Parts: sequence; structure tokens; C-alpha cells
Amino acid sequence: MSVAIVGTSVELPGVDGLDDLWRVVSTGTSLTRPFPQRRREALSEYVHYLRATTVEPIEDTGLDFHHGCYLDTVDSFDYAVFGMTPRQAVLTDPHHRMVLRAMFLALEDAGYSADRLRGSRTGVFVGFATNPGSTYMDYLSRVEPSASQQAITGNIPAMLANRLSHLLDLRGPSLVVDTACSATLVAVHQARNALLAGDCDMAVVGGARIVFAPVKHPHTAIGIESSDGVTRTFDEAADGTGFGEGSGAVVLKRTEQALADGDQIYAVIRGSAVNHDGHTDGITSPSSESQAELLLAAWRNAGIDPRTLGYFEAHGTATRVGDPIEHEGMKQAFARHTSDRSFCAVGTVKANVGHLFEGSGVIGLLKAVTVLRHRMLPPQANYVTPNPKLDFASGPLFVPTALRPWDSPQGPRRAGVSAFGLGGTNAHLVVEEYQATPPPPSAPGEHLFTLSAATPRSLTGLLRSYLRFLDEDGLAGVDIADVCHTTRVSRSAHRYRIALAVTGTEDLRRGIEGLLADGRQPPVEGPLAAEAARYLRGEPVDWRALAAGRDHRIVRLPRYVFDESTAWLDFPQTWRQTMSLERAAERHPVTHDVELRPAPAPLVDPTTQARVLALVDPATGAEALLAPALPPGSLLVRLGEPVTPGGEVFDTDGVAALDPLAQLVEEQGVTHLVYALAFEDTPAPDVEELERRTAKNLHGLFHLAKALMAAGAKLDLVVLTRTAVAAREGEPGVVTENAALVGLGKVLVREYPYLRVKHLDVDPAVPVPALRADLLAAEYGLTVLRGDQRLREVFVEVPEIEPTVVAEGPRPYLRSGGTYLITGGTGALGLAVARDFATARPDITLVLLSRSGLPPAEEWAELLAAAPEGPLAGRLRAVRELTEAGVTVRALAVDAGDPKAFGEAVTRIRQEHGRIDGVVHAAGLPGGSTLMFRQLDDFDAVVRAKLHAAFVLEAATREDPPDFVAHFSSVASVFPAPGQADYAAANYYLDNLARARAGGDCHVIALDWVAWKEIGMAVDFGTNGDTMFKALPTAVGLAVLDAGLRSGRSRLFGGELNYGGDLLHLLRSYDVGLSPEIEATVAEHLEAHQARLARATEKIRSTVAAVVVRLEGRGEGEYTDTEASVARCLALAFGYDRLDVEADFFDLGGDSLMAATVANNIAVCHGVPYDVADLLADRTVAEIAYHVEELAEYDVSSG
Amino acid sequence: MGAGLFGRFPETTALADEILGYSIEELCTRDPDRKLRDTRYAQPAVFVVNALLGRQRIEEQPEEYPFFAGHSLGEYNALVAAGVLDFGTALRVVRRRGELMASITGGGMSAVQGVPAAFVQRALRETGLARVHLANVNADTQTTIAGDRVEVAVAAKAINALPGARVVPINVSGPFHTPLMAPVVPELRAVLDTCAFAAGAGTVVSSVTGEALEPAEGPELLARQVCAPVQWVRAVATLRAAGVTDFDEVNGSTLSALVARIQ
Repeated sequence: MSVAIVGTSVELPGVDGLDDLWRVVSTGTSLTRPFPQRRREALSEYVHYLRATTVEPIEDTGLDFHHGCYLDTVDSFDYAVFGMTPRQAVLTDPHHRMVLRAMFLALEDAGYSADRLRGSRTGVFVGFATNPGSTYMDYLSRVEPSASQQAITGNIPAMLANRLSHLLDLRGPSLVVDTACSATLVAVHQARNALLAGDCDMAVVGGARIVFAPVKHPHTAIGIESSDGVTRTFDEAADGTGFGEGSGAVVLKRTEQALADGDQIYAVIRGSAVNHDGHTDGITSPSSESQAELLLAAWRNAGIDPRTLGYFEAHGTATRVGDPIEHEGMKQAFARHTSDRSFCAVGTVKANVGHLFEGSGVIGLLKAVTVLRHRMLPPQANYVTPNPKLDFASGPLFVPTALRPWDSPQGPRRAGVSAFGLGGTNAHLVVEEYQATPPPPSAPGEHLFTLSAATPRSLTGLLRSYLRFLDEDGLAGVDIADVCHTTRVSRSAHRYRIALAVTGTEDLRRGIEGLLADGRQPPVEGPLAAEAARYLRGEPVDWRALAAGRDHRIVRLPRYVFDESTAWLDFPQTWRQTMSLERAAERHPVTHDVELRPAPAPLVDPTTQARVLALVDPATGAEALLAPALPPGSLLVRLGEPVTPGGEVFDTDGVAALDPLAQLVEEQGVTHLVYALAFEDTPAPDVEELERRTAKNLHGLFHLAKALMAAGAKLDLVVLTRTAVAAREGEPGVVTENAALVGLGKVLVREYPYLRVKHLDVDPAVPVPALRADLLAAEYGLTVLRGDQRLREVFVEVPEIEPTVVAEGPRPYLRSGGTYLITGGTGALGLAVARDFATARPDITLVLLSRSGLPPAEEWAELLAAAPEGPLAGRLRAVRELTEAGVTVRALAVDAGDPKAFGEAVTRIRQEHGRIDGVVHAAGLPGGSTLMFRQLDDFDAVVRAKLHAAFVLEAATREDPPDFVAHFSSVASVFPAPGQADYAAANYYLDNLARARAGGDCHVIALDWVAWKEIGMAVDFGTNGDTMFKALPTAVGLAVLDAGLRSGRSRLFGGELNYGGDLLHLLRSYDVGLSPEIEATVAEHLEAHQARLARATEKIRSTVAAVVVRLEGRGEGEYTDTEASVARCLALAFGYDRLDVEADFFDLGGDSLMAATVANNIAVCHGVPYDVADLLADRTVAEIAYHVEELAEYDVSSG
Repeated sequence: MGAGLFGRFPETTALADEILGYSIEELCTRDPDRKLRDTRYAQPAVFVVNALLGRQRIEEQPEEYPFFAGHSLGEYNALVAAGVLDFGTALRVVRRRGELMASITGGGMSAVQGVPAAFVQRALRETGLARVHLANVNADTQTTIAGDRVEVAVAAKAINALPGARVVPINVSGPFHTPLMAPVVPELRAVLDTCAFAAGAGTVVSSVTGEALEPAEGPELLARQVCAPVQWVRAVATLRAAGVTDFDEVNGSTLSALVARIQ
């Protein structure tokens, strides 16, 4: 069963169609020339830009382009015919557009238009490869990065085939073949197989190739390029192949089907084969043996004797290695069948048109088809002195040097076509001429000639093209009935239509001339009038009725004339001004701290109408200290007394208990609520008292906040504590447990912005006016008042520590033979610290304490085997490594948040090991939901694992404290996120505890970690990305710990500010001061960010302003300015030069990807908040403009 | 919508056709004129399908349903299922309700997710806008706001600034369940006053008050319903307090999803 070629198209420099190709081939013309000036100009700045922006600088000495066979234009496209918007066309790879065009034309040539193809089992096969470094997508994404997403469907290789299938509703296979230079020929083989296997009834195969920027550069050469762009296959002077550009396509059908359908048959593919070189010297080295096998396989497949071949279209890349190997392969293969000499002409179209790489195979096939059809053997171009290595005389082949007849008295003419891929995939086809039997003549009479086009311009072009075709005797010997049949079934599906009733070619010529002269359709009279009228009205017509009674044939006619417009993004000539290459490598410290620094008294607006409600615990001295500072008319409610006279008693036991207070706040219009319950003057002496205080003070604030939020209250919440915060390092008598309220307070405002929190920590010496000022001032966050001194939190850099790697050498803080307790010890951070300690001091004992502990050692082997990749296995392996390093490891399953159990565990360790020499308190539970939905038990558990554990640890080691205690705290104690109320409270406690203990026998240090990048809680919860801070690599985190333990500091904040990130501005939204150094750097980066945004806005505005679009669709033709500017925003997205004011966004070709950009542009250009949802609701220029005006008006009226 | 359902209840379907003056089955299953997007047609259609599905459910599961509740239009179905209103009466009201509601245009509605209703209320108060209101309290962190289209858009931006909040526009024609619907209340009330509210076989929890509905106050509550927020959270809390543990949803799963998001 053979396959027929029933349609063709080819476009090459100066070549439009098969006849042009024959002209070039038959005259031995070479199309090599310099890179066209216009394209050179369009690209040169882009090349300079590329050179300027490589990491390894390229010396930009000037631009030199390879010569080659280049197309004049690759930047134009008829978007309408292919169902695109102008904008989509711009964002589509030129290859993509060329392949579409080539396949469309080949289908048309085969007698198929959209109507005839819809729903058919037609396959689409494209040979293509993206070539790294010079794709249109690279170019697009540099010129207009914001378009990248929109550009995806126009630049994914698969879409080359898929878009045509989609556009024409073709249901056969649709795929792209990439085998490098043999791709299109392999695609033909695949298509043939698909036809023979019944996967489809018709197939179109195509390919295209342009050279995006053929700049001469030593690094980009692959070793097959000709020095002067001229391809001299088989010539002594051959030194490689020249670049070629163009596209080609063929339409294939099973031969009997083609005959039944009345198709024109260009040639018949008798056989084909594809193989691979296998293992050769190198992946790009060809193999004559494999090539010979390929030919033999193809001949077997075709069932022919190779002695009957008269022409051989060689791959022929004109390289010193490739040509002799190809020649050798051909000789070997022929030698298996015949010893005859010089009977088969050989040549390659590459010498004429250059190498189209992936597209070259189908061009070679098309050349073979023209040779078969003309029955002439063409001279090989650029062939002057035969390559002596090839020795044609001793083989079956010869190279024609002049055009000569091809006689084949024995039977049909046959040709072979080869293409070899750079990676070793080879393809060969055997093609045979087809001699059609002349058709029976049609009966005389009128026939209906129809033509159509997508635009009036195309239609005019088409009519002119037909006139030229008639002038050139294109219809000589062709039956007018077949001409009309062909135009009806393959040229008539478009919107703009003409119809003529004709009896012959002269009649046709007169009709066309008339149409061109009058510019309008004359009425069609006679028996064809009804069909003509229906057709002209755009209604479906069943042409089979007109074709009845005779087997019509498809004949060759002029191709469609595209109405092309520019489809290219211009490279901005101003790129040098708009980009800055001097991006200094900035370095910022990883380590920070929060200091309490003196601050001036706050400004209080004297007009402030404060309504204060103070909540006090009568068991403390809060009322005595606070009452004088309260403004007149303030309310005061004591714990244990009625909230309102005769009302419910104020207690902090549960959120419901605080509802009456929230009600009071609402009723009394309270503006300042002072929460002064946590006013104990001495630290809790034992766990029982600690429990009582956390329940009353911390849980009380938790419940109060929930009650206030639930009531939708808006007020200043002042949390007043007495010496809970260590005002300086080592301050004695600090009531550390009450400092947890600071952390909780920091989170409230981040969850519910109407509750603004200030935390005042005072001592009894605070002057009354100072206290009152701070109660009422609009300054939030933590303020520490000690007598006259006023301190505020400031976030500072600690640059003197450079913890990039863990320091080598001994660790002064680790004792030989010491015992070290790590809480959270089987967690990722705990184990990382354990490993670090073990590496530095293998002779220590590590006690790893965690809630889960570790399974008994005898079960390990089984557990490891059961789930070797599971999290438990990872922990077990880590522990085993510690043991192997020599460390004595003890794992304890104890909940650090359970004071009794944890206290006993610490005591037991001390008994068994004599002393605990150091502690890393890494135990912790993550925070959960926001306060409104947080249950007290969950809140409490998070707090306990840190706060209660630290308290118990200190109490249990008081007699013989460790050398150090390192508390793992968090960024949440300084810059918390919503949902971290408990976590922030617990960690603030740790920070403050460490500061209070500074200078003591035990080195207590708190380490505030930002998210660790590779391990730990943040990884488990997927929050280990860069935010305001860069996520911390494990090695850096461990180095910070090491530096901290060496330093004697009471705190280190471990995390580098992410100055380049989008969240930097959030840093200023916290009620924590920034040091002048940090503030300056932040300001600099935010300004740069603002400037970038402003430039982007300005760019959008100027780009939109430059759009020229005409509005239409309203009778009176009056459009508002807003409509005009909205239209420009839409036109920019679609590329239309006219827009109907009532046209729907989606009907215009919009999609949801575009909508975001368009909505943003509308918002930017009109200065109104306008988003995708608005656009998707409005959808037309008129509606959008109406909405935009409303928004603008609202903005003005609301000031 | 409702394909196969109408055949099971030919008499009720015929009654609906007679009241509405068109084929309810054609509207629901084929909608040849694309009318279902129109409130005037959508409300009777949803009501009838709900009512038939409710009948089917009660027939299939003959266990007792002591409590009924419905969200907005669904409240009419709850009343019918509980035997407080008969089908024909309710359909006549629903039809008029749809017409009246459709007569108020220029409104917009947005769903707010991620923050409690109290936060939304406070944010609305802070904007100072008079023509945008809380319209549904659907779940702990799921509400809707509605009102004048432009004001809803402005309020949406303000609410979006709340941590965790997401505001998504909903495609409705009017400012339903806000005071902006007040103009239609008197006429709806007049229609409701002609209806007989029976004692019924079960308790209906009102989505206006969130409390059990006394049949006598039916006309007042149902009239007020179009201009008052849907208190779904309160209704569910009342039902749970009354011992309800299982919620069977007659049509779809939207309300079940909301119930699951109420603590």
C-alpha cells in the first residue's frame, strides 16, 4: 500500500511554491547572501544587550553576521486567518507562524479548506526543535517579561502541531518530532505509518526554520557551518553547510483514497525507513554502515530494485567528514544489489537553499518531487571541482553539472531522499512519479467559480493572483469544471466572497477583471443563481450537488494571498538607559539583636478625648500606681468585683467571663483599655505560682482579646506590667513570666488591626505624668519606663559576628566528658545541634529529650527496614551516627511542657551524670490558628513547651547551674505573623529571661531564629521560603549558635534581612524601631522599589497612550475620553486597530491570562482600583468605561 | 437542574406550571431562553426543585425531621417541608419575591473569607460607607457583603487589607439582604399577610433571627428577610443547642460545608 503526496507548499528566499523551487533547482542557483539589512538593524541592539548581560563578559567589538539563505521578513503574519488576535500573533514564535502558514497552504493546495476538514481524521506532524540560546521566547521574555505567561501557547513546540489541529478541528494524531536535522523526514515517515496503520485518513507534515540571530561568534559554532555561508556539497572546496531559512509542507493520503477523492497526486511515497547510528565515535559522528542499512531497509520496504532509482537527494551537509561517509554508505548499499556504475544522479537542495536543519528533510523531499515531475535531472549548485575523496566514477552515482533529461524507459522514475540527524537518527524515503490518466472532459456549460478571503485586501490580492496565473497559462489544458470544483471545495470558506458563473478560462478572466474594476459582486444569473446567492450570503452550500454526474479532480491553483501585518516585538533601543548593570554585591549581617534604647517622651495630642477603662488586680499595687495617672472620668474595674454595679463579677476565667467587659467597652465608648492585672512585684517563687499567674494574666489577656475581637471593638489596648521586662542586661528582680504578655500583645494588632496594643512596663518610680502620657500616646509596641528613663525596642545589626561557617577548633563552651541536654532533641534542629556538638567533642554525653523519645534500640533495624525513607528512619540514622562518632546518647521521652515530668527528668539526669554542663532548649510547638479560633488548651501547650520548661529547668538546676543554657526563640517574638499569639508570647518570655539572667554564673542566651531553610518546623509547614528575612541555611544557623555561645551575649537574632524581597516594607509596619543603619538600608531599597514601580506605571501609561485605535459601533460616533483610553488598554492587549465599543472581551479573543494584565493596565492608566473580577463582569469598552468613571468619581468625592 | 425529578411528582409539577404560567420542567432542564440567570425565574426554579427534592428525601427516609432551616430563599422550602406553608402558597410568594427582588438593581455582592464577621463589621464601619452592609453570616470566617456596586468594591479593598481576608465578587443583580432592599418590603409583606401559616410538624429556625420561628411572626420575618442579613451561624448554633447533630441538606452541599465551618 503506498501513500500519495496530494498537496505541497514551500517558502524559501525568493521561492513561493513548487514552480519557484524548480526554477532555483534546475538552474543550479545558490541563494546564499548577506543577512538582510532590515533584520540586521532590528536585531543588533538585542545582540549588544545579550553581550552586555552575560555573566562572563563578552567583548562587544562589533557585529558580524554569517551569510546564508535568509528570508527578507520573518516578522509578519496574517493573524485573522489563523484565529489569533494581533497581540497573540506578536507573542507567537515565527517558526510557529511559518509552520501554520505552510501547512495551511499545503492543505489548500490539496483541495481542503476549513469546511472540508472540520472533524476529519487528519493528522498533523511537524518536525521541529527549539535551539537553545536563540529562541523567540528568550527574546520576548527579555523585551517584555510581563508577556511571558501570555506567550506560552505561542512558544511551546507541541503547539506547532496542536494549534492547527485545534484551529481546523482535526482529530488525527498531532505531534512534533524532534530528531534534529532529520526531523521533518522522520515526521513524513511517521505520518506515512499513521496513514498505513489507519490512525488517520490524511496527514499534513511540515517544518520551518529561521536563524534568529546568525551572529558570528566562536562559542556558538557547532562545527558544520560553512565559512562563507555557501554549501558546496561534493566539491573539493566544501567546508560546511550554510544557514537556510524557510518552510515546507506536504499533504499525504493513502493512494487509493486519493484516487477515489479525485486528488491531484504529485508523487507517491513507495517506501521509507528510519534508523539510528547506534554507538559511534561520538554522538554526532555518522556511520556509513548504518546509513547503508537504512537505504537497504527503505528499498525493501518499497519493494524496489535500487537499480531503478534515477535520482538520489542526499543529505549532503558539505562537511569534510559527513560527505565521504554518506557517499560510502550509498556505495555500500547499492553494491549489495548492482555493480553498475554512474546510473543514478545525486544532488542536494542544501547547495541551493542552505541547511534548514529540522526543516531540511521536507525541502529535500519537495525537491525530489519537482525533479520527478519535470523528468529532468538538475545540476548540482556550487559544484566546481569534484571532491577527490569521493571517487564517484567507481560507484553507482554521478553528479550532474547541467540540466538534462531523465529518461526511464523501463518503468516509473524513482528517487531516494535522505536526511540524517546530528544525534544519529537517519531517515530515507523512496519516491516514485505518478502519471495521472487524463480525466474525461466535462460537458460544456456554466460552472460556478467561487473564491473567498478573510479580508477584502486578501480577496483583491487573490483575484490579481488568478489573473497572473491565467496570463502565465496556468490553466492551459485544465478543465474549467475542475478549476471551479477546486475553488468551491478548497477556496471558499472565508468571510469575503465572490462567485462567477463561467464557461471557460476566457470567461473567467473577464469575470475577474470585471470584479477588480467594479469592486463589487455582479448578480449571478441562470441555473446557478440559487447556489451562488446562498454562498454569497455565507450560508453552507452542499457542493456535491454541483459536482454530480462527473468525477471532478482537484487541480493546482494560486495559493491564498495573506493579509499580513507586522507581528514582532521591537527591541527597545533605549535599553542602555533603562537598565543598570552596576548591581553592587551587597552584604548584610545575619545576626541582629533587639536593644532597649532611650527614647524621647511621646507626643500626646492634647485634644485626645480618652475614655479609659482600667482593669486591675487588687492583690497587686497596680491601682495605687495607676489611679493617679488616669484622666478624670476613667473607669476602673477590679478583679473579683462586679464589672458594673450589681453586674457580673470580673474574672479572667474563660472568654465568656470577659463578655460583660467587652459590652462595657462598647456601651461606655471606651477608647483606652488598660490591662494591669500582671502587676506582681516579685517573680513567681514556684511552679504553682507560675501556673496561677499565667492563668490569671496571660490567659486573661487571651480571653479579653477574643472577647474584644468578637465584639468588633476598636480601641487602644494598654498592657501594663511591673518590672516584667529586663530594662537592661542582668536587671535583678525581673518578674519574667509576665513578659509573655508582650509577645501576645504584639500579635493582636496583626490579626485584628482595630485593636492597637501598647505594652508599658514600669517600675514604682515612674512619674505620674510620664505614665499618663504613655497611656494616651499614639505610640504602640513596648515601652519600658524606669523612673524618668523611657526605653523603646530597636532592631539592630550585630555585624561583629560573622557566622558563615562553624569555627574550626575547640569549643570553649563544651567540656570534655560533659553532659549536654537538648530538649526537642529528636527534632531536626535538635539533632543538627547534636551532630554539631558531637563533631566538635565526640567524648560527650548527649541527652536528647523529646515528647516522642526514640523507640528501643532493638527495634531500630526493623523500623529502618520498614520505612527506610520515613522521618523516623532519618532520626534513627542521625542518632546512630552520633553513637558511631563516639558520643554517649540517651534519649528520654518527656514532655518539656509538663513541669512535674520535666523537673523529675532534669533531676534524674543530674543524679546520673553528676551535672548537666549545658542545655539547648529547642523544644517547641508551632502556633496554630488566629486568636479568634484558638482554644485555650492549644494556646497553653505552645506556651508551656517554652515558658514553663525554661522556668522548671532553671529551678531544677539552681544549686549547680549548667555552663550555658541556649534557648531557641523565634523571629515571632520580634516580628510575629498572624496566628502566632502563643508562640510569640512563649518566645518573648525566653528572650527576656536571657536578658534578665545576663552576667550570672550560667550563660543564658536566647537565639531568635528566622525560618530554617533546610530543616525544622518551617520546612514541615512549608514556610521555609524567604520572607522579610532570608531563610537560614543549616550551616549558618549552627554557626550563629556557635558564635553566640562563644560570645557571652544574652541574645542573638539569627536571620538576614531580605532587602531585595517584596515583603521588606512590612518591616516598618511593626511597632519596633529600626536602627539608623537598618532604616537607611531599608529606605534605600524601598525607594528603589518605588522607583521601579513608578517606572513600570509610567511605562504602562506611555505604552497605552501610544496605542492608536479607532472606536466604532455607536451610530452617532461619539465616544467619551474614558472609553477612548479604555479602548487603548484593550487594543494594547489584542493588537486591534479598531474596536467595537460593545464588543465582548472574550469574543475579542481574551482569556483569563490576559485579563489580569488588561485590568491592571486599566487600573494604572485611570488611577482607580480595578481588578480582574471587575473586567470579567464589565467585558465591553462601554461598560468598563462606565465603571471606571464611577470609581474615579467616588475617589474624588471621598477625597 | 432537577432532571427526572418532575416525572416523579406530576401533580406538584402541574400545579407549579399553573401558578407560574410556564413549564417549570422546561425552564429547569433545558432553559431554552437562558432565563435561569434572571432572578425572576431562578428563584421559583430553585424553590420548586428544592421542594421536590425535599419531598423525595422525606419519603425515602421516613425518619422524623424535628428541625428545619433554610438559607435565604431556602427558608421557604424549610417552611414547606415543616408543613408551615403549603407548596402552592409558598410558590406564589416566591414568584412575587423574585420579581420584587429583581426590581432593585445596581447592586453588588462579595463573599468575604478568612476573617470573622465581627472584623468585617468593624471594617465596614471604618469605611464610613452607608450603602454597603453585611448580608450573610455564613460560617465562622465566611460572610458576604452587599450593597451599592461601587461601594461594595470600595469596601472590598478595605476588607482585603485585613490579615487573612479574601474578598471574591459574587454575580447577583441586587443588594440582597441589605437595607437597600427596603423598598420592596411593604409589597412583599402584603403578599405574605394573605398567606396561612400553620403550626407545622417541626420547628423552623429563622435565618433572620437565628431563633425558632413562631408561625404567627412568619409574614413579618419573611418580609424582613430580604433586607436583613442571613444569620446562618446563629441558626446553626441554635439548632446545635437544641441537640441537632446531623444536618441533611436537600439540594447540594453548600450549606453542609458552611455548617462544617461553624465551631
